[in-house]
Amino acid sequence: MPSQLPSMDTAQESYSDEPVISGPTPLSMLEGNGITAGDLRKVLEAGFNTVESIAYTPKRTLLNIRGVSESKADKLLTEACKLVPMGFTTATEYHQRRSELISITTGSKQLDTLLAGGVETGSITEVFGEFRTGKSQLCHTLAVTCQLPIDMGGGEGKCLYIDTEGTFRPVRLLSIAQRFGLNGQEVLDNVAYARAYNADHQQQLLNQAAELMANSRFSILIVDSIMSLYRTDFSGRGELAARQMHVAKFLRTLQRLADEYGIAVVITNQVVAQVDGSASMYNPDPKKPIGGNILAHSSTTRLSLKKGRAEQRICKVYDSPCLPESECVFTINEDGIGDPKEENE
Amino acid sequence: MTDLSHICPSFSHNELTNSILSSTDAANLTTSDLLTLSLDALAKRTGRNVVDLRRFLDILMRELMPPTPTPLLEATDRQQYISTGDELLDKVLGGRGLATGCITEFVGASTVGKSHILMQLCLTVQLSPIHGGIRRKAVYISTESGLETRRLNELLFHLRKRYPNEVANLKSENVLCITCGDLEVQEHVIRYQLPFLVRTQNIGLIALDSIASHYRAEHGEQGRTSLYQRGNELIQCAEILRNLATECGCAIAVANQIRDQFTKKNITVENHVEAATLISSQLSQDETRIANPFEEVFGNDADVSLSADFQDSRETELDIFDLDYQSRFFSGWDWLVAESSGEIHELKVPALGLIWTNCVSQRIVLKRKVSKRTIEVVFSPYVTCGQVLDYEIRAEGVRGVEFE
Repeated sequence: MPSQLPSMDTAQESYSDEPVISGPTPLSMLEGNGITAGDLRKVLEAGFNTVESIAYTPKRTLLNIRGVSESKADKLLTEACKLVPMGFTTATEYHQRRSELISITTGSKQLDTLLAGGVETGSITEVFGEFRTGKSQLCHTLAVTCQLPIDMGGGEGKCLYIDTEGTFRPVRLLSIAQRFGLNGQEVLDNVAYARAYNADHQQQLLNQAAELMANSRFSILIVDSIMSLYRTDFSGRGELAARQMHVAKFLRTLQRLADEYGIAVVITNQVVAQVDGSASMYNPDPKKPIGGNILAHSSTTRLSLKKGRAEQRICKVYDSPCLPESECVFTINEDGIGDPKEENE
Repeated sequence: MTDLSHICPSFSHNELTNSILSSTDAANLTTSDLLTLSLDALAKRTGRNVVDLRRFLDILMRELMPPTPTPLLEATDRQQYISTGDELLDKVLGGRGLATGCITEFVGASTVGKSHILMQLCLTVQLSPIHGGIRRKAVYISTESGLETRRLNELLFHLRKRYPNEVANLKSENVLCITCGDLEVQEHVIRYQLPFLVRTQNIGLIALDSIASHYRAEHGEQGRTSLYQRGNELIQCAEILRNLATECGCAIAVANQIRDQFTKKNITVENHVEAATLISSQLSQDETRIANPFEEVFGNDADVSLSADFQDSRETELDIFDLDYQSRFFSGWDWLVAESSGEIHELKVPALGLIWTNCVSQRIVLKRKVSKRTIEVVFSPYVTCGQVLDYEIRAEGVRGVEFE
């Protein structure tokens, strides 16, 4: 599982951000209670110079050191974790860190109000609805607004766009850029676009995405749409378990990118009509997003889009840890997502 | 000797034990080997002399001696409860709220409010005993999207308004949180960081949200060996949590995800073909069943006709001791009820299978149908099970709703 290593590295970084009273703890503090000087020498030779470096190293890595047995690794980790400050933070601190996360405007004031400021960075937002409900349009608008300065509701970062259905139209970005007074060419330069051709490729692109994000500032990652390749690559119930595992992995990588780079992740999803009995009684509109329980559990905010009159669309908060369940109306215009113009009607 | 540090973390080391432990390590002996093998055999395998081994085993046995038992009544007195802050909810949970000293699972689909209940408990645990708390801190381990602090602060605000004289106790500083990005970090945190934190910080509640997400993503792809390993890791994780619960008297609230259960008709066909492999499907009720049986049913037995009458004739053959039959009593979703009300397609089961089910002491199922939410205790040593309560999620928290 080499792909997991980066996460531990960043964990180390964030831990070391915490105030350390007396600098790094020397390795010799671990001696005693079952750990001998000989053990410490082995660890030291493997490049672990401080107690901190041991405390935040996964056991698997310690086991790779010559002469460190499983029980010794356990002992080392247990003792090291007693000596160095914990990885736990108080909810107060965490809240502070979270409130520094910005939201990216959707272009519609009403939609922004519904979402308490826009699309949240650091978490996964899922947008689902039938065809023609504005999912891809919302994505195109976000690809531009994420480049706006922070005081204009943007994220001051580039956009990474993973397209699985071939619906990306750079031309649309130009007209949206014009509305926000941005240079069209620059806007296009700031969108890293990738077309995914199969489910494995889609997952692979995320590894490359991490590389890109490490090198320059990105503020949003868009996947339009998340399930379409899975729908064709895996078929039938026989492959369902494998598919869901794949989806779970993909979503977890997305969540990790969101955590590590503080980007907003927006995924779109298709819906299916519920044909089986129960729906009609309680739910007049038996459409539900695909992807099953795994996707439902993984996305932080879920938005449901529906068609309204003419170019109007209705957005409903389907699931969110902090937003109340309510809905609003927005429109799809030539220059992206906007508010309905009441006075013109 | 790979397991002594788990079995007896307090084992006191000296020069003799250290040197012997390194030789037993080299000989790959487990603690139970040490206790069961004869001295001669041990001496042969480790190359140590019998006198040293004798002395070492004396120390080991002394260490492993169980502590003096506490009288029953005293133990009952020590049992504490954490109020949810709502009378009706507490009543469903047994009268006084969430019991400490055991693992309680909250399971349900996304959007039912699992995290809400956990966050609420993180705050009510800080209240004084007269208001149903135990005046201790909480740990919130998140494996999904992190603690939603805005909602926590909202709950805190309402709780402080409700108990003005408790403002000094109720603090978001008293909720410690950590987000685990993958299974490795999760295990590292639970195994090494959490025990020390709980022992030193007066923690009264450990909230884990959720247990399933990383296990689901990282295991199961490679078939049964991986599932076997997942089961092992789950059991170890549960053991650490349970030990902490009994040792420190804290409550453990774990959120769990759900998965879809295939309809009984399908299960019935599967049982017919797969009767012999029932044990392996018990090993992990989870993915094995989805992945393999259907391939066998629909792949190899392409001739199997799935006409309605065939299914019906099979349906009666579902054995009463079958895991699938029995699951209606512990999964929280009764397929018999679902079938009679025509909702068999909506049938769910908790993720992580039978292994995890056996790890938890209490299972509480949360369900949602459009805007109607219900909570039910499926099994528990503290409560009369099967009572169903409607509840709502309001700004001030999760609240029970009385039937008309």
